[in-house]
Amino acid sequence: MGLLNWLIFIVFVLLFAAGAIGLLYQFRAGHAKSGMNDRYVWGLNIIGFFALSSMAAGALAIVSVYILFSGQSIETLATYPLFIMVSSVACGALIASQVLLFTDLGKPMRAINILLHPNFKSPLFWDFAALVVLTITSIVMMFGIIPIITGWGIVPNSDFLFKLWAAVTLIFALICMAVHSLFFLARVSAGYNSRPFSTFRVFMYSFYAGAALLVLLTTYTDQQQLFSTILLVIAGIVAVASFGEFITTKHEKEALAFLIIEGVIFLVLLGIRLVNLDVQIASAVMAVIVLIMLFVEKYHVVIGFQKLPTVPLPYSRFEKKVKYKPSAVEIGAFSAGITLTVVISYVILIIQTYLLPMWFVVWR
Amino acid sequence: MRYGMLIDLRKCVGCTACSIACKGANATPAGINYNKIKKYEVGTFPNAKMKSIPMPCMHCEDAPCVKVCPSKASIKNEDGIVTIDASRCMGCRACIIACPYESRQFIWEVGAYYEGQNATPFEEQKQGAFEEGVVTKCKFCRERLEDGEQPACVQTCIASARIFGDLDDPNSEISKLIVESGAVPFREEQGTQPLVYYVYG
Repeated sequence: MGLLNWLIFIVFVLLFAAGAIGLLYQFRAGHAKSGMNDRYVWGLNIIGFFALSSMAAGALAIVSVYILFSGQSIETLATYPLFIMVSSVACGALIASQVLLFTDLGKPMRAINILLHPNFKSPLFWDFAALVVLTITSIVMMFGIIPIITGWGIVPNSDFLFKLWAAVTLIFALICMAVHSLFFLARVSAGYNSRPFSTFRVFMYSFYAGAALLVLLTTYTDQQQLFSTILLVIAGIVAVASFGEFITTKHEKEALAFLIIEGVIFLVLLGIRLVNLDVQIASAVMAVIVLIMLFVEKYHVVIGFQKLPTVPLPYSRFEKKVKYKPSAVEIGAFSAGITLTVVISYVILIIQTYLLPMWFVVWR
Repeated sequence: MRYGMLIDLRKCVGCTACSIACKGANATPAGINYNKIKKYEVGTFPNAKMKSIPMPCMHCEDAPCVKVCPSKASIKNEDGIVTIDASRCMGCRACIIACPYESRQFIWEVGAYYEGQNATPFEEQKQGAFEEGVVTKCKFCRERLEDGEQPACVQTCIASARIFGDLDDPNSEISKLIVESGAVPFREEQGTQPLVYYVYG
């Protein structure tokens, strides 16, 4: 691991440590110290949870599709080391998202009740199941467990196991993405105001962020062009979804802003391919912008949704207008969750590089 | 036996005595209100009127809060009442997001109404049932029903605007009134099949 990587790791460890103070304080002091209230019952913790788990699910879904439709032996693919790297980052994101969710619960220790008294009709149960399965599958990939099992001679070759891994990962990644889009249906209206494009955009943003992560991780490698193409296609779909959202929503200013930003991202990605600039770095910059947009989109979905009155006019006309102002504690906890993703990813890389170097295929 | 409530908005004067009675009977902590009163305006000036619509929990037949709860803390009982098993509730607040009627509240903290003031003996006794970090809501005063009493809001209403009874009994007062007055649930189009009916007028 080069000096630059060590510096990045140390910086993120320090940032995580600073944010962790807020995380621990909120865990100990309770939610009364946060900026949440009766109007905004979900805040930055849930925004971070949705963003990180969506990104991880999207990245793993794209990798799974690649494996399922690859006609070659997986271990001989040039992208195999990338899959390990993506799984490591996805694992970090999944763990960080679950830390954020855990600290957001009013009674975190009672989360065990999901296992003791499962409600199979609950989207939260399936979200929990999907996140657990994705965490396990990402660990399986990043520790190279499939080639080890193949080496035991139980199966003749690893391709079947890789494709099984990909099928399971893809199914649960799609479950995770679908569940995230279901949470906000309760208050939508019927027909024209049902906001179908809104839920579709939430769904697609997982793929969007996943593709952006893959573009970022493949900077200055031969694989970046493939994932840049995928990112470009998904950017187009997201821009179309935003256009539909703009037409069907009454919140035109916000929808227009999203349409403009996502339209510009799409056009820039298209322009990069047409003009053939320093594609690698330009694509990486756009990928970072997309990842920032992921958090903006989740903020809009979570906070914007709660900003709407629960009961319609005229019954909500005289309701007090309440704003969401995250407290310093919440901001600290949120930043701890985000930086934890990078810290865990680097810890995995350190384990792979220094502690068990012969065990792993390392992508540099 | 399926408990339901009818609220005659032609009679409701918006005095909020039902809210106060509910608070008194349940000793809900500061900031928790099981029975909200929404004010709204009808007509245009100079013939505008302010009206009130009391909104307890609707105890929906197809309750989204029950469906969304991952730990089965929200329960639809056989008597029609939706309750929360606080010992199972992990405070995820997904039910609050799912509820289209604002019926649920998260207990951010169990505190006194006035800073620096200790709880009254009544509050000390009753607020032991509340704990920080879980969700709570109206439960049709289930303990009072077991004692043969009506819910506090029904008993207190000065205009007799609230009727409570068994929706499964066609001869009950509430069932007859629903048919006679054409009472409908609030936001019926949501499809949750509330057990609280309103007579608009």
